[in-house]
Amino acid sequence: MSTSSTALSNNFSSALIAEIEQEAATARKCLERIPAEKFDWKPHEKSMSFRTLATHVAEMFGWTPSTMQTSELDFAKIDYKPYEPATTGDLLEYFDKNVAEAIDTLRNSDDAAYMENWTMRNGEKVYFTMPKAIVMRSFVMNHIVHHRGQLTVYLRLNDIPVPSIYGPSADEGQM
Amino acid sequence: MLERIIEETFDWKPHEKSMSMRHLVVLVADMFGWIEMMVDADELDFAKGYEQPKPKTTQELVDFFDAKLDAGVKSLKNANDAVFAEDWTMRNGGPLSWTAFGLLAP
Repeated sequence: MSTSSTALSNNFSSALIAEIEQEAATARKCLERIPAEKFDWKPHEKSMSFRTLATHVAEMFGWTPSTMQTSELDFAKIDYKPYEPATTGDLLEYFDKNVAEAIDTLRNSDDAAYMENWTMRNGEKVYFTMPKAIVMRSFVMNHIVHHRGQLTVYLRLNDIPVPSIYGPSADEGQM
Repeated sequence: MLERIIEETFDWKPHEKSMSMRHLVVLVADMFGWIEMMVDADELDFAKGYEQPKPKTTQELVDFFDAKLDAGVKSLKNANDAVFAEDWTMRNGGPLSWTAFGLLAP
């Protein structure tokens, strides 16, 4: 047992960094297969376009610094404009930058930070207030996984080979 | 989401290589049951056999989901932090095939 009372405890970050590295690797395998000529394709008129969905997956890793380093996101105070990649290379460059910043942020976050509350609001209207541990696990990580799952269906419907994510797909990764 | 899936669409799939609606949705429900398996057991061995249940109605599907979720939550309530640092193995018979986070075993 350490007698130091100043040592930072980083159990949350250790677990989350391992998870982000794993999920980012498979997300990148999906993103790098999307040809720019398919960016405007959508499976249903109410669906997001391939570009919007892929950019959203890449974008969400980048929510890590604003979650861990601030106490709220207020849409009334920002002019939110999603990034618009023109090429697959643009998309990957944006993704890689967001993942690197996410991991760097977590390396510098101690366990106590994860218990602080974080709020998403639009001025007076509060969408939620939750501990940062839950914002990271649910609103960032699960949310990425949710949209990456949609992305694999977009790949499938365009006859682009679906990578193995957690197990074999019909195209790759036979066990 | 599961309760909105009507039986008439259980066999539908968006592409010939895709899972059917039934297969996909049973997998989603069943995965909540993996919590119990991962917390209370040390491995899953495919060589010991696994058969996916085949619900015939939306109600059967929702009941299956509820049972798996309850079992998962119960396991977590009884688990302490040390359990999460233990290794868990997925294998097919004798040789070790896979460990957590996709690291190939030596």
